[in-house]
Amino acid sequence: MFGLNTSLAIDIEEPQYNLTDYQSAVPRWCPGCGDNAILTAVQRLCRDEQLPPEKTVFVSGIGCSSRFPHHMGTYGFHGLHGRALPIAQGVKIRRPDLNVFVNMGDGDCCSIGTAHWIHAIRYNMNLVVLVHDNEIYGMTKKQASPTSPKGLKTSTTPRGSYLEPLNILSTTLGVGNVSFVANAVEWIPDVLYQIIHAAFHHRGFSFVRIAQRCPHFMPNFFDCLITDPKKILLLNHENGIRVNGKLGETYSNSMEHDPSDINRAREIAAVSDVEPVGILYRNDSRQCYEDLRRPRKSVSVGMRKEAIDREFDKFAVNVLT
Amino acid sequence: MSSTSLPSTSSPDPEATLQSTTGESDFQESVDFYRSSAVLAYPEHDGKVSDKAARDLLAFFRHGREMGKRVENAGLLPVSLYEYVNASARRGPYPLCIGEEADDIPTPLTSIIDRLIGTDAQSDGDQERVRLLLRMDAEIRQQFADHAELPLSKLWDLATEVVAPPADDATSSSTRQTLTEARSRLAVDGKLVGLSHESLVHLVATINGRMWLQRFSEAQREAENLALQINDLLEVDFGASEESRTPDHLEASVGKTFASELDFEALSGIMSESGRHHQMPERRRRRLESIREDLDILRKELLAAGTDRILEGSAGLESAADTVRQDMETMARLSKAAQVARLEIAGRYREEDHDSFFDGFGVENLTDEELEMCPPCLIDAGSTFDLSASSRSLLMDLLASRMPVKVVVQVNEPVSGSTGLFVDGIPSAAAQTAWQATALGSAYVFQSPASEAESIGRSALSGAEHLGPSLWSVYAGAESTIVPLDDYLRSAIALESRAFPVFEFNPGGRDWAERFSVDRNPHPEDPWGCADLEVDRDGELVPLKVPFSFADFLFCDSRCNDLFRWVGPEMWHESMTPVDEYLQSDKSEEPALVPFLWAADEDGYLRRVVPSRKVVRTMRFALERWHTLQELGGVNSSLAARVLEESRERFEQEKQEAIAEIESRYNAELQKTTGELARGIVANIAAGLLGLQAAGPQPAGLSGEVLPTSGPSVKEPSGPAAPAEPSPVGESETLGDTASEGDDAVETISLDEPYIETVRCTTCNECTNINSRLFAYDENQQAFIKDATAGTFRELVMAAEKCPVRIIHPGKPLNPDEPDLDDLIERARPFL
Repeated sequence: MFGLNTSLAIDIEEPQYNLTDYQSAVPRWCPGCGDNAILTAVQRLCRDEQLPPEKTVFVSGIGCSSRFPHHMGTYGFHGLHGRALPIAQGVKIRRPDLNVFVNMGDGDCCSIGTAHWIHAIRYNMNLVVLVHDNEIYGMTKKQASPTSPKGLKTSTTPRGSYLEPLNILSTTLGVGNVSFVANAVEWIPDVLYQIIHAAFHHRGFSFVRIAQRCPHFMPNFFDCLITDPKKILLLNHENGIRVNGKLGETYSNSMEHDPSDINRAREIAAVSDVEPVGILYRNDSRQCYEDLRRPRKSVSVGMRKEAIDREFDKFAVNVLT
Repeated sequence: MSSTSLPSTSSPDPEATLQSTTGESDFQESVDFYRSSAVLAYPEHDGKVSDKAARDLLAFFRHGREMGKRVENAGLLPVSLYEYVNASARRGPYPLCIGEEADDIPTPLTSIIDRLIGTDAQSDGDQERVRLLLRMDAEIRQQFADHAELPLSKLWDLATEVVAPPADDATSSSTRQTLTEARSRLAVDGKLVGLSHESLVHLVATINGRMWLQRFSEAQREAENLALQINDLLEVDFGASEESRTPDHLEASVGKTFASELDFEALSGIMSESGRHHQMPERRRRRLESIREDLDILRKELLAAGTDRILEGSAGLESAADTVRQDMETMARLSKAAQVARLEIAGRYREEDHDSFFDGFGVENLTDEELEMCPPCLIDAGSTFDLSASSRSLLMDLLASRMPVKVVVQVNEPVSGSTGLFVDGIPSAAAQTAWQATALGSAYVFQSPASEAESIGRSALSGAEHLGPSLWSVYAGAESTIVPLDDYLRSAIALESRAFPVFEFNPGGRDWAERFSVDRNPHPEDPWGCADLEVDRDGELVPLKVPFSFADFLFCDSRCNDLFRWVGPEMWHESMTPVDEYLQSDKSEEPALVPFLWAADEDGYLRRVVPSRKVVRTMRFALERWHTLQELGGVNSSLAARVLEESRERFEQEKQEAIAEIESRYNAELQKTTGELARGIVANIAAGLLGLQAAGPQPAGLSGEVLPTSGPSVKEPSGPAAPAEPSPVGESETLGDTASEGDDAVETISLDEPYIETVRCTTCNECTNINSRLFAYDENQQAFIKDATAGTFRELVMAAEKCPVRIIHPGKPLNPDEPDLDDLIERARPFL
């Protein structure tokens, strides 16, 4: 709008950020941890979008994945268990100009943080939410999480988990006002990048569930998906992702899926024999809560003072007259 | 009167009303809603006319000698007007509903009601509904006279209370239900405007304002949004100030509920000591406050200029250029504020780079898109006759510019002077404003009598869409008329007579045909409007076709009374000719003929009105002007006719030449064939006589090919086919082989060297932890073999085994002396 383009108006060199500008402390995740791939994809996104580090915030809860803000050269908030979303929402409502990302584990999001998760979907604030789903509590040494498969032996379920796992995608797609749901696996970095890229460009609550390996407590758990590309079902669409070239040849099991079709998205989310990867659903017309609640009049501190003074003046006696 | 733009009148007979209203309801096509009860009639007379009458008529026509009777106070008017004057109820196009949305087309109330009536009202129930809607039409007009400020829907409600007051009976309930249903189908809603210059200006201003607001709305929203975001930055900054941490402020921010439970002094102390609180530099805060104010105030200034501002008269014309310049400067300041705001919000404003740029930011920095968002400058120039020559010159300068000036002028006299206009019939300079503006080529121009409500409404939209200057030149009607005529008729007669025809010039058209149009005139192909009347002659109705020419228009103007005389039937000499026939034929060359107009007196008796010669001369001039307009509008174009004629002649000539050529070729072929046939026959006879057989086949026709004259000497060469060319297949195969070999060579990948499928790397650090000189990350933080010689084959194999996504391929060992090589090679086998 205004036809204004600052680069057109002013001929100066904009500052250029590279990958190292977004890197911070050396990640302390285990060697082989899938979180590394997610970190790299997010750093690539920040670089490609040239997000000013001082305008970017990563908010997390508790868990391995929640160390994410420590490894980003941006602002970050390592919060309480399950409370990443309300903190991120607070940041966003106060500073809508910031790029806010949320990193949660499956336990963080889907167990103790469930209430926040559901309502955050409903509020549809403009956040990028990444759920690192390794289907186990890793940081606390292998307890069953809500997404652990039935029969998995853990320190809290030594005879095997009794319950069917929670389907994160189906649950998210079931909440009213949902606006963006995608599923990714961290071992296909290009596709992961494409999905996070699309999530960033969607205005609203962009929810991305990422299947993530835990090499220490769930070794070989995802091997069946890694070694057999046919088990990955790529969801291609012009409004979603496109996988071409050699990667497309490797992952040849694909289908066209229109992300605007929520019923089909729910069907895809429910499949169990393959792992659907891509954007299941997006609706760009949903209004964001921060837009709905944005004050319509700008009231500065000075204006408030003036208004208060005017009110006080009504009760004052002017002794000079 | 069929298919004219004069307002329809109706007889009190509801049948007549119904028949006329059930047609397609465009006003110009709706006919005869009311008809005067008086019937036009020929006066009684025995038909004997003396030759002296002919001489007197001619003497007046040619030399102005007194004869007949003067027309003032005779109660005469052009016969075409008779049935419309004094009609108590007429449905003219006014009032006009201007709608509420930006793309609403201003629509006459008549059209709105006609659309509700529809085209299929056949049954009794339908006719009842039609009567009801027509009553509503009349009542809404009445209500509009009292409540001009109300929108149509409100006027509809008021009219409903009158037409169908609430009552308990079923009929009333049904009637109100019908009206409620009809109200829900109103094509358009919004304020109505009547026929007046002020209303016209209001209409043009409203529509221009709306269209501009549509262009500006996105910028306005963005300005609001930017102001809010700047405000956010300032509030955050305030949060870092000492003032925000004072006990009083903290207490005020907590509210009353828990105020008693907190020690704000202590809290203030803690907050003051905790962490560092950085406030933005004073210079930046002042800049942010300044652009916040600019974004708010300048936006409102532009809004006020675009929607509420009307400059008036000569003073308005004189100040227009400055006003537009000021608007542009305001837009430039707003644009500057928006750009600074965007940079500030993105945190990319650098004083050392940007300050100097924005200090010099001005109108010349505006983009085309921003210039288009500058508000239109509406000017009500008033009557063109009140404008001085210098003001008219200024008006032309404005219309020749690219500035968004929107000018409405009122024309009172389509021809110059009052009685002096007949000397040479030159159109008044004031009336030619639209012509002159059209010649400039850059302005949208619309000329019309005020009666053309729908055309004016549509033109208001078109003129508002044009981003440059626009002009509406509207004829309001002369003040002095031979009989009292209302505002509507005073302007409508100018259209029928072509005294002030409608035309539109829109510079946005792709070609002239799109740019210029006269289509909105009734019957644009005719010289003027024409009425088909029925007149009582000795008790029998006979048809009478009467034109409404430029002479009739002048006859209506009381200032022209000296130029007309009327005569009764005792002077209707056979030398008298209707003026249109006189003008269009060669009869004007016959010295004995006298033209006349048909008029009617108050009782409906026909009279003949003889114009002076000056009138006819002026009429001819007006007709030539109309023909020029027609041609410009593509009607009866002489150029097209000339091209058509030339094309026809050329086509005819080419056709004749083609026929001649075909004939000539045919004859030549015939002669040649006949000769060859004759020679063949002679040869055959000769051969027969010599006992020889002709070698060729028998002639089967006129084809030269089968004639035996070719003989053995022209026999096709026979024998084995020419040696086959070297087979290209072999070559291509060879090439193909070569190519495929080449491709293979390109595709060949050595499996001896180690490699990584970098694109699939998940950055897990397994390999780089083993040997960071051997393995490294690229710019996307994905691993590749940096230096295969920097590590051992063992490290390669270990990395391949550790890699969770199995993308490391160790290849073959580079060092044959490495220990346990056999074991390592075996371990590397799954990763080859």
